[in-house]
Amino acid sequence: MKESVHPDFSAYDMSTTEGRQATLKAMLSVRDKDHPLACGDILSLQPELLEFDGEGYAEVAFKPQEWQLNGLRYVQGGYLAAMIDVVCGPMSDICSQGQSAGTLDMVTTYFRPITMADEQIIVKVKLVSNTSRVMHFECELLNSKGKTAVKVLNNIMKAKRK
Amino acid sequence: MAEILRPDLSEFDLNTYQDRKAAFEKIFSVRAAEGETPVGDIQMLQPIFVDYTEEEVLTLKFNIFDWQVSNIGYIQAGFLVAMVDCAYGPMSDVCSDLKSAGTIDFNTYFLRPITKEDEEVTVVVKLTTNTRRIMHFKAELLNSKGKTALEMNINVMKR
Repeated sequence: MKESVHPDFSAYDMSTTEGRQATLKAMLSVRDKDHPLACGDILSLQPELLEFDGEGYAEVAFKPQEWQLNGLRYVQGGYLAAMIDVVCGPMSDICSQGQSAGTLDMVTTYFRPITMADEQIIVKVKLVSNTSRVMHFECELLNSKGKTAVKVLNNIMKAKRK
Repeated sequence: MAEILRPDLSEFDLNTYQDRKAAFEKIFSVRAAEGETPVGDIQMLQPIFVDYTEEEVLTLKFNIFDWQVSNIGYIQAGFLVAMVDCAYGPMSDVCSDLKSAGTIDFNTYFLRPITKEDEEVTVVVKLTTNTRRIMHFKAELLNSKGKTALEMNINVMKR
């Protein structure tokens, strides 16, 4: 299998709550492609961290963009899944201290459409299980009125500790 | 901004296979004009139409872009899902005579990572059930070596 390539976390202490909070804040706020923590999905989706307890709960805001619309003028379901994944991915890496090895599966249920009128989308992610091999996340995406639009159950694999 | 994100399909009789195939070719050929910002998932993901069979199997190819790469160097799972959505979304519209009303749910299994080295991936979507209210699809995303990277089961609501 192709090896994952992790960002350079050497400037961050992920063994403490404060260190993990600082790391996620730093990762999600990157807007410069030459930054050592830069990655394509964060640059394109532009998440804004609202809250992270440093253990396993985070809230992140997004603004819909026109390139994300489908033919029904809703934000395409895959892009909504991507907004959730752009939170789960970095969180899994930080909460496992760089052991995240990729998504195993994703169960996604859609309740309401998101349109350009939803000026702020909120993604809430909770790490509910963190074993030696798998991390399980429960996620919710809310429209601008605070109503549930998407729910996701996400399993992420961990690499063996070297 | 383009007001219509999908092209006008009124010239097609979507009850016939040949016209559905022609409709897909038209839908997936939409591109942003040079210098303009892409609007909509098709302009952004730039699918390449490969085939649509009478057995309701649609095949598209996608190029991989830098903006899709995640923090661990793989193409982000959500963007792989977006490529599949870009195929079954229009397919649900065309194969229901434009009565698609949106995704209800999907289950996605990620079997192999996709990286920038893959350069191009293939999405194959099959419409397996088409009732009055629900359409069910099975989808597969193949890496550049033709190996399965993702499998999905999808339910779409009809008006």
